[in-house]
Amino acid sequence: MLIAISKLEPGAVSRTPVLDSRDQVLLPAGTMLTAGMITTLVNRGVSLVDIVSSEDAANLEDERAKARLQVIEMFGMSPRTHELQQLQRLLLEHLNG
Amino acid sequence: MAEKPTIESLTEQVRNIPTLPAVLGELSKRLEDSKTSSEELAQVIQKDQSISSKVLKLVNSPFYGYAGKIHSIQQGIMILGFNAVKNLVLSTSVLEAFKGVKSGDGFRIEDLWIHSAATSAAAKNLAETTKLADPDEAFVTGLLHDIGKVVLWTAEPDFFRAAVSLSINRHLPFGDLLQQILGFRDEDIGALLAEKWKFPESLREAIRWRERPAQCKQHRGLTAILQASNLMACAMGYHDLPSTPLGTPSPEDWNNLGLASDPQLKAWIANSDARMQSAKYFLEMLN
Repeated sequence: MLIAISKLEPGAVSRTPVLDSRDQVLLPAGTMLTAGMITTLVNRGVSLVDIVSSEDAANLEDERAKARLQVIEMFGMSPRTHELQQLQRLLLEHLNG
Repeated sequence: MAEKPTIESLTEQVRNIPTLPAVLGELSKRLEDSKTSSEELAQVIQKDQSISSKVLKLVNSPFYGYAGKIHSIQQGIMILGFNAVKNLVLSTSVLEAFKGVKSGDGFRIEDLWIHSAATSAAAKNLAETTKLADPDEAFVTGLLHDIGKVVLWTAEPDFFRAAVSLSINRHLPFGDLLQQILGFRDEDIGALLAEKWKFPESLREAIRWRERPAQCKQHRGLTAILQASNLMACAMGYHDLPSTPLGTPSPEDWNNLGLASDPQLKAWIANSDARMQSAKYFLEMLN
């Protein structure tokens, strides 16, 4: 859920990495934000942050399980090249968090 | 199977697609002159009110990180650069030209644009890390790479549907399937339209050789970035044609992009995941 930085409160958790205008990662996904962090983000020009909503949190594991299945299915029907196998392995690692 | 289209019938179809707004041609011409100022370029863009208001909306989107801070086209050009703004005008014009395209059984135009936005996000990131192409150019190439599919869907929806089913049943990527039964690919149709719309050469070539970068000698870096990013978007679940098999890059291109190394591929996956979220937002604003 995207939320304006002005409405962000300490304790919120970033759902995806927070990037600055040069796409440098300021905070990784899954960070619990403190007041200090929010001030830093404001100073770095961040206007929106994708945070985990309570609904998101409940659905997150389901979504991940579904995404893992999709990856297995999709790569299963694709050519079994070294490059695709490497991508599949690392994608599954990524989805496992 | 539905009647097979020919390259001639599709060329005719492409001929009937309207040209892009005049502002784009004028912009390209002015950009060739190194003496053109940002003020003059802004004046050209402002001649088309619909495009200039969209461009302003986009440069102020969180995607660029200047939300609410850019108040004029000229300021946008000064901050983001000539090429970034020209690419925005191009993207806006193409999406506008395809606005009337409807989804149907077997194809959702929304999925295609979300897939394209995801591809563009991954491509921009890969261009930045590899320095093998200009990041803004990589972004626009990602966004517009699938225009051939839109033409094919619009011209021959029954055939398109049948081809998607065959691609799934035969475990063949869509482009390979078209090559097998038609003798040409959706990328070739895209290249026809890119030529009609006078896209820059690099963009035309990348669209045409997307699945065969080795054949694109002059712009191989950009083309390989597009191929890998298209794959990444599909692999992350942003599919243009759900359930169709993935294409595969050559070991040489994969290696040249640095992706044969696990840590680099891992970093690209993480970064693409984050950026694809903002690209979707960018697309919402573009529409």
